[in-house]
Amino acid sequence: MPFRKASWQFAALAALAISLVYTGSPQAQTVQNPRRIAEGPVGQLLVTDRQFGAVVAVDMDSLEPIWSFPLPQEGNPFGLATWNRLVFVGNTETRNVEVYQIQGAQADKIKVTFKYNLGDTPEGEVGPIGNPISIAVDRKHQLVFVLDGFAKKINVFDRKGAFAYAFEPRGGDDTLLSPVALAVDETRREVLVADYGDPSGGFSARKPARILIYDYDGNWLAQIDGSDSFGGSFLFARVQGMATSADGRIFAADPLGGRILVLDRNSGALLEVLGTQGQEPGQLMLPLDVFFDERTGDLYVSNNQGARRVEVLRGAGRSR
Amino acid sequence: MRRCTRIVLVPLLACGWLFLLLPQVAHAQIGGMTCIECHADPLAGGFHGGFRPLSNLTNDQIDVVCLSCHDGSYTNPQGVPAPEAAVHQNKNPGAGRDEYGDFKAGCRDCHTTHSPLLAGDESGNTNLKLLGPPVPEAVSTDGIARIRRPIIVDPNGDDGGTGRTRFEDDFQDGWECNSGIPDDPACIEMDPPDALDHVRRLVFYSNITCTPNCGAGNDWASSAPPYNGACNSCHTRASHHRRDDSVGGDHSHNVDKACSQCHNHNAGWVNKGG
Repeated sequence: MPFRKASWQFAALAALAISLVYTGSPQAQTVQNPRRIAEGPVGQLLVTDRQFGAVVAVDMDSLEPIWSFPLPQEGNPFGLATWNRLVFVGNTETRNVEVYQIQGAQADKIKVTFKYNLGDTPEGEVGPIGNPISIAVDRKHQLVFVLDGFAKKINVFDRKGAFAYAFEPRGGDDTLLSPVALAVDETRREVLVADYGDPSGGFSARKPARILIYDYDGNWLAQIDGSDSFGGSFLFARVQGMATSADGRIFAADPLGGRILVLDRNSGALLEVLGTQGQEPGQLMLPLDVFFDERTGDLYVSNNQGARRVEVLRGAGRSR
Repeated sequence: MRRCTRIVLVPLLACGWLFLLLPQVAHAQIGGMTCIECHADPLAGGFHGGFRPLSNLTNDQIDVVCLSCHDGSYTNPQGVPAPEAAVHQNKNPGAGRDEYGDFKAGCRDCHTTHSPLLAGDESGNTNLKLLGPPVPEAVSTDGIARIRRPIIVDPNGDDGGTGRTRFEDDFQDGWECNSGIPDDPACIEMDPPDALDHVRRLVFYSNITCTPNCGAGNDWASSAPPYNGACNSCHTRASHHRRDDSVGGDHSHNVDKACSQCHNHNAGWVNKGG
């Protein structure tokens, strides 16, 4: 049975913030190695690009890159989220989540300013987040969630960048084994974690890839297993970045299958499969993240291989 | 009882050969991985859905299999991160350095996932770094820069007496010379059978730590024939350490460093300014 669930909740902590300054120089850049994707200024999406060590803005209509800013010190940008004019970038080189502020709207007038690192790490110093590969923001409750892939832990920060609390599920089925991405569901106050599972220990002992669902306090609520230990009851082999919709659907990027899975949060059922693997426009190769535009139903996908660009599945996310 | 025996034996007999391979699979030694991680059909699931030999996939599909773990996000349950890697390619010719046009070298152009790589290898080493399919000499007799197709040796295949076999003849996603003609024969000449000294025969068993002439084909870039380092066995238009002595070869470049110190694999071998 791929879907399992439980239920409860609890509380949190708080600490202090920071503020430093770095100014980037926005310039147009191609997308070569897109990873995470998030909403940018009006009509734009932002993606982290490994090859250029930059955040690249892409026009939501044309899908063409229009401006970008490099991380300082040849950074390695992975996780990405936005909150109004703030951009949160997980730099796996410096182990920080760097927060930038965007000013202006037009590509030639955009100004990007480094504001601070989450969690009070001074600018230029190595931070405490081993591998900040995925970030999600709950605007409604003003919280920033950061997945540390090395520590297998979720760090939670408040609106001003102060560390609030963390949770790292250990022991039992709810353990984070190989977490690669997270998303939040603001409506349900839930954190979803994509986890590759545990391939070791032989077929009978292996744990398949799954999506784990926690409440904001780190209590395990449910999970959607990709298969059973032997590969039966199959839904997916691996999942990466995810997005949620207000009506309880989960959009999950399937990197191996080159597709987007639409799953039902309540039952764990696979509702729909979107996209096909390939290199033609609209096709997917190693999709690493998905952004769902609730207004239009469009799904934007960070397509890491093949055409190596942002792809869009127009209207594909509309409720059926 | 008879039924139980059948339930146990049938799957064992059907899959037994796969388990025999495991001790030689580097990934199994590093991450405790099983065959299913790479060879299961991602659309059907597990061996129930079907075993998928990678030789049936395109180079790009193989890259997807590798990068789904090596994209920088995966740390295994034991806490060992999969080394981050990006493929070696130039997607936008004209936008920057453009010596080789629009090319892509996929994962398997430089790596092999099973070991020992070569039949008859008695080193006992398990090729944990996974580097090293032999690459034939890049011939440039007409001044056209080209990247040669690699020849992948099938460790279990019939070598026809040559010591190597064309294992995969469909590296269509790159490895074409910039004549613009896919599979241009001029770009994919096989080395003559007696030219084996131009083929990097040895696999890399460990980290490569220096640039020129570390010996035995274990360096990134050799500065003397047969130029069989990992990088210069292909490069004919690089600024340094080309695979021959043509103009601009410059074999004195950063001789005390490994290429990877400045050209990071995790950024697709892009020069990081070193």
